[in-house]
Amino acid sequence: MKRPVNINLLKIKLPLTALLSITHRLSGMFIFFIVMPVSVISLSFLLESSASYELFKENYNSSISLKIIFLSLIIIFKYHIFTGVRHMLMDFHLISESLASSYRSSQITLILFLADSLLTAVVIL
Amino acid sequence: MSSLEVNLYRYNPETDKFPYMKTYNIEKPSRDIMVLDLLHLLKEGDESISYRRSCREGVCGSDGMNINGKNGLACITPISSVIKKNKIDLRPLPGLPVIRDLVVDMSEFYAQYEKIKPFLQNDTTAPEQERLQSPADRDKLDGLYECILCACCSTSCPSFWWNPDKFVGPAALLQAYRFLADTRDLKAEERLEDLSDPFSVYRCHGIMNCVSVCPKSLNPNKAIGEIKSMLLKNKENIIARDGA
Ligand code: HEM
Ligand code: SF4
Ligand code: SF4
Ligand code: FES
Repeated sequence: MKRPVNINLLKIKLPLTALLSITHRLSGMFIFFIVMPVSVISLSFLLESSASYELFKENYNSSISLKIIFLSLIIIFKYHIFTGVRHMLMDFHLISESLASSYRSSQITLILFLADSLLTAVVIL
Repeated sequence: MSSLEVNLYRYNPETDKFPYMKTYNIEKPSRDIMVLDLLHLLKEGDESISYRRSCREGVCGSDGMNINGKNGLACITPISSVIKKNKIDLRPLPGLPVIRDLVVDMSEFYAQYEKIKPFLQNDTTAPEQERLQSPADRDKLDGLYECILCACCSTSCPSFWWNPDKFVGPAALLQAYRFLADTRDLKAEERLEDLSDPFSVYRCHGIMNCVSVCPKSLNPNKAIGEIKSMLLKNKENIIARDGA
């Protein structure tokens, strides 16, 4: 007999640690499917010839939307690194695996990430 | 007299094609009661409501359910701690097939428990009376043996939802570590070998849902971390002994 299963993600509370975990995975997939291809294509364009390099530079410097696009790619990559480092610290038992410290390290990770994002935005824009 | 709105997950396989939420408005009890008492009150008005319970004091583990989005034991969860805007949502444990209302089929959960061989394995001749342990060694089992197998943790774990057949899940992994940590058990290497595939342990990504719901305040995630370290050490030992 086919029985129903109660998995209504909107109705199940997830702690901050769970949100960090799922967004870490999403950012990882985003890096794989978007950030890496875009980086490789951009790089190959930059390296093709000195003319293409100048063209890219010109476009990039004059286009705020292009800057914002690259900024978001960089920020998402950094998000993956920040949460990834936290994950590895826990793997090495360097952050104790209690709920409280796991929660606190999530908060610290997010604060560091936001501060870094702000800095990155200031530098890039 | 204020009233309380209880939204209950209802499903009767004989009459319902799909589960649905049914709203019950009841008079708010004058004193703080447990969620399980609330269910008893509802059942007085509607006898068709089904749920499991036995000890009604947090030791048997039969009334795990999803209370306002968080798994817990109905019998030791005061309604005051979960009421939100005068409402309580009660659903069955997530991820397991629903038999009826709040009653879920725990087979997959028990199958994982069986898989980790939850008993002491020691081939040496047993001493006259009992296998002794130093108090310090016995202390290693604290925080592990207290589990009542209520399944609150495993059914809050996304990794278990997606792979209930392949990922052992926090409850059974806590018990796996309980025997790995027991100095009287001599089958650590075999136990670790059984857990070394990519799914059994490694599907745990430290999401921590398990720790945040355990009604006994146990920490399966910590145990899983210890198992991961033991798996690594075991591989090193095997390589050192047999070569790569
Ligand atoms: C090109 C670069 C990268 C790509 C495409 C990438 C992609 C991914 C993907 C798809 C996952 C799987 C997520 C999951 O199963 O939960 C993952 C996991 C992970 N990544 Fe990355 N990643 C990259 C760089 C990094 C860097 C630089 C770090 C350093 C901190 C890192 C740390 C981690 C960790 C620790 C995990 C394991 C998470 C878990 O077990 O839940 N990654 N990555
Ligand atoms: S570890 Fe806690 S939540 Fe999980 S089955 Fe045991 S008592 Fe229940
Ligand atoms: S810490 Fe591991 S076992 Fe616990 S909920 Fe998360 S993935 Fe599941
Ligand atoms: S009825 Fe036994 S644990 Fe709740």
